[in-house]
Amino acid sequence: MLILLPPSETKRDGGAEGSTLDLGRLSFPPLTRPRKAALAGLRAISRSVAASTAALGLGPTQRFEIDRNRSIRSAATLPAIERYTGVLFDAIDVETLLPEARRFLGEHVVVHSALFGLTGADDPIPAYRFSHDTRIGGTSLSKLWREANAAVLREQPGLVLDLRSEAYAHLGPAAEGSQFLRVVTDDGTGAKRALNHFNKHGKGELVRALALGGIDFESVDDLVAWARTAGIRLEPGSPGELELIVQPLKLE
Amino acid sequence: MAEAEPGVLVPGPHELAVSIVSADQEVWSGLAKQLIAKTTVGEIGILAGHEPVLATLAEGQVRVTLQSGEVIAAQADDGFLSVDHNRVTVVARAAALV
Repeated sequence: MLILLPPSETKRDGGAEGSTLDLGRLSFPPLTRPRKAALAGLRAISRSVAASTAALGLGPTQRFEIDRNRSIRSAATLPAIERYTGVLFDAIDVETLLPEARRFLGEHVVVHSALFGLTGADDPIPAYRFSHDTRIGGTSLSKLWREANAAVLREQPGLVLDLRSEAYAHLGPAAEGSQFLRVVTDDGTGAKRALNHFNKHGKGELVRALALGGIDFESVDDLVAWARTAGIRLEPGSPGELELIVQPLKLE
Repeated sequence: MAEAEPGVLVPGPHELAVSIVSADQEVWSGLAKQLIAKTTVGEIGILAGHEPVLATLAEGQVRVTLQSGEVIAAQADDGFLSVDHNRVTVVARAAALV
């Protein structure tokens, strides 16, 4: 089973002392060439603050993101699952997982980065700023990735659970048979609604539950049956989709 | 569409504005008639009016033919090629004229 996650714009700084980015240590070697191309693009926009600000859509308080990008080749690395922060990753709460559950993430979770493409949860990466909509010379880099990522996904055996946002799913369409997860809330009236914050939180909680469960599901049916026993409302939706139904928290 | 920036070459209807940049500098820029590059999906030839392209470069040379017929060749490793409205940008980790 492979669980695909979107990346987060926010990232933790720092990393293992003496470590630097080594593309040879990232999962999915066929992506090395587009990774180098994207890094070349990142270096090109990083030459000027104006180019960076425009390409990355940065505000005046986000100059540190340009510094991150400029030092990407010398900066320390962290496993991808620890590098990303934000609602989804906070809900996974990787630091509090025991080694077995942590290992499950390494074996089954893939984060879809706009800079590195599909990235294993344990792949060592530096902090960076680069998004699915980053444009270089007026061109979105998305086309660079689409086919390369899609080819990797086509070769994945077993169940692929796609927890990415639609923007990232577009940068590397999942293969036929993959299950795209929609998070919806049920307000008790039967009406289902999609809400962004609960979407990310719900996905993070699901990943954590899967890691704690530690089961490598081979079919959607097995996954759905397990979810029922684990108190998770996961139901088949449209063809190729699963619906995760979460409780809307009351925002006072 | 590429935004016009000060100092940026403006291509005429039948020419290309080419910019070849490496990680730390612009290696060459100028107006040209044709550009040929090797991409991961095969060799590609660009003339004015070409549809937008974004492709990953394979190992090899990028050859630019100027209006005068003169050919400029650059070794461009690890990068990509973008074509949009007669603007051709070659971005590479390492690039040098040969």
